[in-house]
Amino acid sequence: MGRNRNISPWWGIAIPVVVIIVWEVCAVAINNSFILPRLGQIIPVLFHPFEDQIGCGSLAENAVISLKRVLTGFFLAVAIAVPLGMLMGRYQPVFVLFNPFFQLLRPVPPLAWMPLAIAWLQIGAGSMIFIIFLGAFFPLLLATLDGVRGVRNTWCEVAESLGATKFEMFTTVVLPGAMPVIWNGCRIAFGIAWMCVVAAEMLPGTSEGLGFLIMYAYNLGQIQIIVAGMVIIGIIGIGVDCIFRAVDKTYLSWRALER
Amino acid sequence: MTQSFTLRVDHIRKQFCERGDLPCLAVEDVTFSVDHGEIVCIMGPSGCGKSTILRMIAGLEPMDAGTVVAADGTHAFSPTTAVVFQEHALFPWLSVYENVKYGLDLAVRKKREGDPHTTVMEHLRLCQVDAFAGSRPYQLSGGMRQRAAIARALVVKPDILVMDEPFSSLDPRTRLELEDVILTIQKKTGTTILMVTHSPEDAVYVADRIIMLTGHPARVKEEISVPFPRPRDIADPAFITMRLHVNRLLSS
Repeated sequence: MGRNRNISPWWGIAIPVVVIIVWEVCAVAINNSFILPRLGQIIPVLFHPFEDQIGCGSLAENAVISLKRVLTGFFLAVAIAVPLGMLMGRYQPVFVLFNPFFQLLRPVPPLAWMPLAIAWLQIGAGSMIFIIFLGAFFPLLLATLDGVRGVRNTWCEVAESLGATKFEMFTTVVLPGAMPVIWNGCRIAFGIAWMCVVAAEMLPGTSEGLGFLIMYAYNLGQIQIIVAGMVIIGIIGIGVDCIFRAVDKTYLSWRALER
Repeated sequence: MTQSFTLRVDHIRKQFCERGDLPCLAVEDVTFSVDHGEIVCIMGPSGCGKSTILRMIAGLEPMDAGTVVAADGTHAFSPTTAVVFQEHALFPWLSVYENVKYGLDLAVRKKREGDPHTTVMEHLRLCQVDAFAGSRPYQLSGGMRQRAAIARALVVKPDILVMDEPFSSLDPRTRLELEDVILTIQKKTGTTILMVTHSPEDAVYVADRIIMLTGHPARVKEEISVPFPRPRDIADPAFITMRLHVNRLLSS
């Protein structure tokens, strides 16, 4: 059996480069900027992120608005899902009480909540934060439950025998012991939250944010702005993911190294 | 009123009720005491409930009957009892230093005087792991990990150090080294030690007294005093005779 040869990570650029070339070739061939704008139209938009586009503010401005919504919803979800997940993971009655309810709600796509969200919280940031919260909540809760189950009983018993209180047990053993799994859950939850915000902003009734900008550009036939907006969405997603991974590698690698 | 014992285990009993199964009596009426500064080994056939007894003494497992009494008449219970487990009990997200410091940072000991840093370093040196203070547990050998675990337990100045098969995951050489470390620590600090082991050689090497249990359910079968002066010679005929005797008791 032949061993696979490893190649340099730089090869990862190959496919994006090919896609860009194919895109440009097709764009030239089709010659219709409403279907496929040329790179020459997209790149100037990306290079002027602080310039107002089609009267809806700049790319950067809208990105910041979307990011603020995501962070609000995401942190709300963390603040509720992580403590609740720890209690559910450690105390069987809490688990029995909450689990069926959450299992029931979990399969509902976050965006399906939009009509109710609008009815309850009105059109605008509130309903969007609610959707993002729902999108991030379940992966976070599941990750926390999983992480807490991975906390070794011996660790807890050591803490108990040294005189740790119930609260100290959570803060000094259960949370740090479950942290690598929770952190991975945060990473997934943030990705979902980011998708939720863009989708929610595309729905009627919004007036700012990257999703809105994309939808508005569509209505005006400004395809190059749509593509530029999508590129920005992707870049922010990768950027945040890199931060998550860097923290994981620096502070939470013990789980992988510990066998 | 002062009493010579550090710990008295009085008629303790433990029954496990597995769901759908008949109740299983794990520990039946076990009584013994551990004197101040003594090293006592609990031995018995595997699965006889030795660990359960230790866990009850450490307050990690409720008992169905009986009492565990400390010298001052109260229930001997954490934090006067510190436990060293078989293995993998160090917090892997903390360095060795932070692991040892853990007990000092808990609320129960927040108002104690003295510099925690000095105390931690003192115990790291005592257990001969000071060279690895900044290391993470996964970077350490099994023997070093157990030394760090012992340092973490001793740092809170327990009345009794309880060890649950602390050598079980170590190779014979490391085992002997660790036993010497434990004996040195005991000599320096006078800590009372109660440990479970399944190896007659370990027991005869370190113990002042061996408490032999019967299996299923555990009862005290025999108490054996080990009179040899330290350091003990494992090749000494008297030592070997004693070891064989313990071995015979264990397998009969």
